[in-house]
Amino acid sequence: MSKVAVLAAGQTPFGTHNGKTMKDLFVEAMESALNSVDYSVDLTRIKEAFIGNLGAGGSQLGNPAALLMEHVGLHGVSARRVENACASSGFAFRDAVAAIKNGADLALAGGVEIMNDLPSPHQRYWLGVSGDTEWERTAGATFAGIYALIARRHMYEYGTPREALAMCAVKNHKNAVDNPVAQFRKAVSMERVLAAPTVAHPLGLFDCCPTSDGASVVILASEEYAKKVTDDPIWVMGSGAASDHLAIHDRDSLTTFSATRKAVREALDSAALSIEDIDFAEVHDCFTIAELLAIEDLGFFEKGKASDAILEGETSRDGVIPINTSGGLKAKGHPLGATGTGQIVELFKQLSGKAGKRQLPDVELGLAHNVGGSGATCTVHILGR
Amino acid sequence: MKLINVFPRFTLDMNEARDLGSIPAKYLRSMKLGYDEDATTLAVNAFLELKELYPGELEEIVLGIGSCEFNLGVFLQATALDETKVVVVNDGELSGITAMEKSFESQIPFIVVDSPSSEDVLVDAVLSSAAVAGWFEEHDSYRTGRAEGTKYSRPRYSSGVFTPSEEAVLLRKLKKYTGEVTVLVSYDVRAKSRINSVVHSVQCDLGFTGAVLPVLELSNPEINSGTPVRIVGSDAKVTLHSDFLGDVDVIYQNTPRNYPLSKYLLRRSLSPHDDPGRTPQGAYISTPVYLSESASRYRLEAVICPNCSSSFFPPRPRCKRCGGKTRPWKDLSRQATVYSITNILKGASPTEFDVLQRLEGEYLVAIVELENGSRVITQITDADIQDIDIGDPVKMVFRKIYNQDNMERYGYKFVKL
Repeated sequence: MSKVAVLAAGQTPFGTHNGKTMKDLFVEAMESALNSVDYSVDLTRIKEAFIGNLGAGGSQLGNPAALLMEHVGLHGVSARRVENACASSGFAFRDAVAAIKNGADLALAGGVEIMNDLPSPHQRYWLGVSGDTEWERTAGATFAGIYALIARRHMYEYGTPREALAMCAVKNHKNAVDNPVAQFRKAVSMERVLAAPTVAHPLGLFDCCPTSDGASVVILASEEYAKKVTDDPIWVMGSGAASDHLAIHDRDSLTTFSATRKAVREALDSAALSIEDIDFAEVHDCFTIAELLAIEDLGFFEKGKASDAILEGETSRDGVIPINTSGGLKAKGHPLGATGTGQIVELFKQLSGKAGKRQLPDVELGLAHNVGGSGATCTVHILGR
Repeated sequence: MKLINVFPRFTLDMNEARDLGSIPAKYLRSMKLGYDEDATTLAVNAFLELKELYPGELEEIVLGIGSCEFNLGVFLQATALDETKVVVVNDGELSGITAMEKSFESQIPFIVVDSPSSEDVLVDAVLSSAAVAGWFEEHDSYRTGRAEGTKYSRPRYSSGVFTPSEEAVLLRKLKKYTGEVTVLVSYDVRAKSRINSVVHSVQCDLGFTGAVLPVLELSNPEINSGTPVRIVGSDAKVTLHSDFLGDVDVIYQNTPRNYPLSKYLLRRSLSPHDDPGRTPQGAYISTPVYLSESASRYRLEAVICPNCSSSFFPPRPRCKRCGGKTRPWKDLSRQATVYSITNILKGASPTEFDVLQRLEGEYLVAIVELENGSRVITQITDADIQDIDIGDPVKMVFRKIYNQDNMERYGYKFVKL
């Protein structure tokens, strides 16, 4: 079976880009991707494009893909918007992998989201539409509330201390200091995180990722094409994806995401790897509790045991299994549609030795974990050298 | 046969059962009206309580609806009255009396609802106290006197204001039966009224431009030292005149929270869920859809899979376990257990609940586990976050949820047991 390579990956800084349109951001991301490598990429070989996006900035809900194609020099390419809430570009990436396996030389996977150029009620419109509208929203809960319910239950079932959640925020902010594209590049102390105002108990302001504008683009290639331009391609070793009950009350458990478990199982199996082989990971920390759940559900730690590992620094940059060296969603930012392929960008940088001050020494296998909403959808991708 | 008298805002605060001849009376303490309550929700909750007291036995009830907004359609859907006949009495501010009379005649339970407006509620409340104290039974002249146009006649009640001497007479009679004077205070921001009597005076200078909380002054020389005076309900600030010698037992004084005036006016002039057209109503559920789901929005009607006997709430067309086609089963018990709990503060609410979050500061969202193991997300009402823990028993009540398309949407919430 022929392999799939990641040929180039880039993104805009994530943050607040007042006055920029989706087109502007996507063009920037494309340039960043093309500049991420020394070799040139023949854009005419791109056969399929998959663009992750949730709200189109409130302005272009229909046909955004076509609009973006023409502005990045890909007029005429078969393109479509992919939507699975925050996992949109993770699924865009998966679809691009499939397109390569289906015979394309090149495929584009990316994402874009504008959230901060909107008034606050419009923002919360986007954030409030990915839970179960019929039940969760009419009970008055959007994601902060839903993840808070998960956090409270996790604390009840496993005695997870508040500090373990806070430590994820501390760690990710610290990591983002060395990430030029991160939204927040200042370290925060544990005390500050614990003292932050409550958003939905037990989650406070620093347990929640920000709203962000941004775009990311990844170009994938067939094995044949990749080997023409480089001796040392970065490969997609495995891909997995799954879905789950949308409303968390319909799941058997609140404290595990079965979609993560299924997706990582498929990704590892397709790569003939086990989780212990993975050197580092970008996981979906839309809330601190989400990072904790992720590293348990992915299998890095046993259920209920992640808190100790986090507090002991095992997931820090110089720990046993560095998690979210980019700063994660918490500090790097979370433009919903662009996050998934943004994680691929970090993996690509680390694996090609281009992660600057964040560089992890001698890494060979990285994992990207992208979740939609409160776990209704999930993709896991493994990249390696 | 029991009496459940449901008046918002104040309590008929007599806890022992009183024997009104053949009708034993029992009083339920009612809470100060919450932001998610109205006449409709009170009536539904009263019926649910009645139904639990007399499972399968309720053939007929009398429903007295005062001069208030009442959604009879919602009441009927929420109570799903299959075996019970309801006689609706709507007689303006006399609804309470008429419903009670009907109930006494036919020996069937009644539910009376009304909404707070200063005079009406005072009238009804005072008269209801009299009724349950047995006063009616002994004073037929009261009833006939009304019909004949005596000083207790209908027009008098319509204006809702007693002369000091009439009120004194009534209250004296009450005192004779109850051994105490019950003073009920309520007010409505829309009313501009001044109610005075020899027993009490309530100053309510109300209106949109200025409002003061009512001040209750007790200055009746008729109340001697030693007479217990019980003040129930509402937001009265009690001051005692220096010549007052009675014993005052204040059950209910002041609003529980220190409401700034602007917040109070906002609360009374706006439904808490009202945000007229300014924010986008994202994630829209249409009115026909919402109303068609009453079995799972107003009640806990579960579905069952005939194949493997698994049951589910909220309902789903296909069984989670075996994929079989489900069918409607039964209303689950109102008792549930808290599975997880959180509070929603600034920034965490969907836009439809923004105004509520701003007015109340927070509201509680929980996942509760029902009798068949199903879990559902819902709100916990009438409680603060520190009062609720995982594992606490809770009970379903009927409340207002939010406002959409200018219509109040009702549904269930849960309260701590």
